[in-house]
Amino acid sequence: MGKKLSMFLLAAFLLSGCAPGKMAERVDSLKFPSLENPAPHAYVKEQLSNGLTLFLMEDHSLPLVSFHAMIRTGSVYDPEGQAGLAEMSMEVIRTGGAGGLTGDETDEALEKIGAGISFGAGRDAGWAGGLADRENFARVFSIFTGMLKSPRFEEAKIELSKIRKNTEISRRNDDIEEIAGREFIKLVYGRENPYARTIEYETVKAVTRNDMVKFHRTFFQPGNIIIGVWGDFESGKMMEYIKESLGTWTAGKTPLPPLSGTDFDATQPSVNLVVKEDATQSVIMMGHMGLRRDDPDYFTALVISRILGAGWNSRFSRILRQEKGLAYSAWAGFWGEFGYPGPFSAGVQTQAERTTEAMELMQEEIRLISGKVTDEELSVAKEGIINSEVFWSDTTDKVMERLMRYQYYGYPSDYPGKLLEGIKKVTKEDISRVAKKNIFPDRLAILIVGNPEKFGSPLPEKINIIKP
Amino acid sequence: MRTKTFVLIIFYLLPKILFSSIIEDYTSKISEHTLKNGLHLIILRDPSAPVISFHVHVKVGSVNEKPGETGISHLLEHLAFNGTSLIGTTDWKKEKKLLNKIDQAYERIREAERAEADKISMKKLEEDFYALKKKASSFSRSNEFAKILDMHGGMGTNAYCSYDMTAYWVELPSNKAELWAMLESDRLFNPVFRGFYEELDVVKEERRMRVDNSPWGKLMEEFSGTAYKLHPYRNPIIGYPEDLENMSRDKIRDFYLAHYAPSNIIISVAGDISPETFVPLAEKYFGGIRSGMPPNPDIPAEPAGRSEKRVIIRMDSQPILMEGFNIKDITHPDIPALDICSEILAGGRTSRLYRKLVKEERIAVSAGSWCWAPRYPGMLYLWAVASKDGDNRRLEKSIYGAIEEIKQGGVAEEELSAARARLKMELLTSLKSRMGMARELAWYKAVTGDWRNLFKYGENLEKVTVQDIRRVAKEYLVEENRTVGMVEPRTKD
Repeated sequence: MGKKLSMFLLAAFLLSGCAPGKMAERVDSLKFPSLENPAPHAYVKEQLSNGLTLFLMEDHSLPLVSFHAMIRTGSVYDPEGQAGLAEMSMEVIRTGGAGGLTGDETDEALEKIGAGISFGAGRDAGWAGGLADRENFARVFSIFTGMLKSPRFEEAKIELSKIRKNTEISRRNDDIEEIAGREFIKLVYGRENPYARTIEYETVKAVTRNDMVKFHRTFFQPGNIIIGVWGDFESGKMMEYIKESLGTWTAGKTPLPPLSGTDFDATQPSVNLVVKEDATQSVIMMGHMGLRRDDPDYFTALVISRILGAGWNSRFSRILRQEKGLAYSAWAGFWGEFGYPGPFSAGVQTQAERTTEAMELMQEEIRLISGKVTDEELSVAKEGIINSEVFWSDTTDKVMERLMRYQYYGYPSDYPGKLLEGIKKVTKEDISRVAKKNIFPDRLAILIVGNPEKFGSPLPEKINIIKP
Repeated sequence: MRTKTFVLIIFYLLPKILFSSIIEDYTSKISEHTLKNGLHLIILRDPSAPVISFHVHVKVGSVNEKPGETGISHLLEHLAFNGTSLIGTTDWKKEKKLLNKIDQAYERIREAERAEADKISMKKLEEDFYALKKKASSFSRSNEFAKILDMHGGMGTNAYCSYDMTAYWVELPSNKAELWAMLESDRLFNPVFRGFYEELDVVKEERRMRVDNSPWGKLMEEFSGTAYKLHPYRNPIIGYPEDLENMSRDKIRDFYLAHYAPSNIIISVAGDISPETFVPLAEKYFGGIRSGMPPNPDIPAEPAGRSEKRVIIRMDSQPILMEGFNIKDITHPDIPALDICSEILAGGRTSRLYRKLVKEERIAVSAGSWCWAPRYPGMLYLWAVASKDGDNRRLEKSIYGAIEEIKQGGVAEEELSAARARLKMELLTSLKSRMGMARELAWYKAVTGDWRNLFKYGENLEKVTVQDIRRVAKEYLVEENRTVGMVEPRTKD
């Protein structure tokens, strides 16, 4: 591949009309040995009779065993007025005692052997996982299955969880970046959309122990759970052991609650401001609803992201950072989600005095991406993705995480291969077509967080002031 | 109890895990080599995937900076990405002349500023400066270095600068080792510092982002400036704004020439490459570099603490509390005991501070600690995040109570063995990361003289006794050795 790629490189430079530095010629003369693609990691997948899906993968490099679970739940299921239920319930399943142990006894049992277990909830998935050395794995995994099957939800730990959530709320406006990230998502999806709403003091207050018990009953059913175990063990024996500990687990058949208010209507264009008086920088974000990862345009969108604003060689990095010195980090692109359309978004954090300049440059670059891209830009973006393929599976952690994710969201296990095939075929015409279809420079939701007195030029007349 | 028997059969009959034999097995994959010019190589062979992590460790950081030049090693780290006379230019001869003219134009602006020149002449000088920059940029391709790595599958291309070191790293598919050697040798030993003024702006933005607009960043800068009276650990790595204003390409070049000698650099690689392949490659691309002697750092010693130091920052933020106790450097025999003591105090949910402040008194939502033992005497940090409506003073009082309990009553054997188990597990899991190991091996070589000390540290943890914990608590965790830093909400008028 080496020579072919080099010719391709040279052609790309010539086509783009810029002679390369001398080093590029030397690089061009290098002959790279062929890279032998490693055998794919062997794994076992089985669905137990109770519906639980299991992945096992051996990795004997160190005497460690890792495990991870994905649970069909998430904050999008939180009932109206109880935002935070999923996050808090997952936390207390971990901290509030389970099986034969109190919460404090659980902490003692794990920490005295250097092991750990954690639980959490994202927007559309719950997760749990842990790590132990080979000798202690069975002990740790039995604590883990206790949490899955019979959490105690001790009142004291529910109280701690509420204190933690209220503290998070009280601190969430300390940092301009955090304010921007949170408020921007609301602009993209709509303030009330479960994919964007935030936890408030009253929603924390509204959550009771009964709600958590109900949460567990609803979502923690074997058919809603995928478990992956990887590390230093023999698969046959591990399968028997897990069947023994989880195979007979039966839970009710409560159906998942229906989702409401999760329409992905087009983002409303607007300009918005959050005032933070002591800020000497502004965070500027702009964008709108984007794509899911299974969208037929997604692989082209990935190439667009690399050209526009992902990585050192993108236009955002080159123009806003390297040429203008406007920001430490300047980025833009499609951030694809597996289960719902992720945003198309761009962000910059710049000194307050240059806010308007940065905002206009960002809009300009977003506008230009539907026009021409050079051959060089296209080849740099494509080759970068194609040649880094080996890093998609260079650790068992990565491979396992991916297998489980595809299973959870119903993606084919050869999804990366298909993505790569698609990327290889992307042309300049595809870039322009997909950009025109999915990027709307005139329909951007724009958010500025900072001190407007320092912006140096008047704000647009139609600006919404958001009080975070 | 069928499950239990079953478990016994499956797991307990496995060979017992011996930490020492894991380490022995692991270290047998590590080799090292020094080139004639002094550049040192560490190679960790791991053929589990066709990739290599490359980590370059340069023994220069903010401690090596003179007064008035804070931030220079970090700015140099940024500029190292902007190419050489071979990378990033379409015509070096022409570009070089222009870069020198730009520097002169900038100096004229600075002089005019000092002379308080009138607006019209200032404007003229600025126009000259921008016109020259524009002209130079027509020859420059500032991002070519990263672009070549990127196109060849490079991952995570980045760098960082700290008090004692500067590091550059990238991961590549294993057939690209020669590409890396070719590019890296040129980047390290032939930089031209193009795009200097733009990069300086980027660094100023980085400072605004990480320090000025971040409560934690602001606190840490003031904290270090208070905790150290003389030692350069008191200076911010990113530099004071006043010093950044006074940077120049000449200063960068002088600093670079003084510190980027081969004997001041360690290259550590981990992945699918053998020493038989890597050493000749390194000879070919790095062997011809002139040797040179980096200056012997003249670092003032920090005097012993005589009284508590305190710093309070008021900003639009919720309260933060940070405590620090001056300790020793990584080679001091007390460090393993201090590390375990810090783990007992605030590592995990069973730690003293978590139990007391979070679970019992409910005045904090988290507590943490860090036994920071670098090349020069470091700091044992303790912090706690107050719960809503909580306040720093109560946290402070409770923390001192917890420390006092250790001094008076000592710690239990079980606490010691649990803390030790966690630290050893941390060491074991860190072996999973190629880049992490490349970094650690280089660090231990640079700071202690031998990468093996990374693993000896595990053995040293074994030797710590409950008496040691109590002794180091009594010796180090004392008022006159303490710095207290706080962020307090600004009071509204």
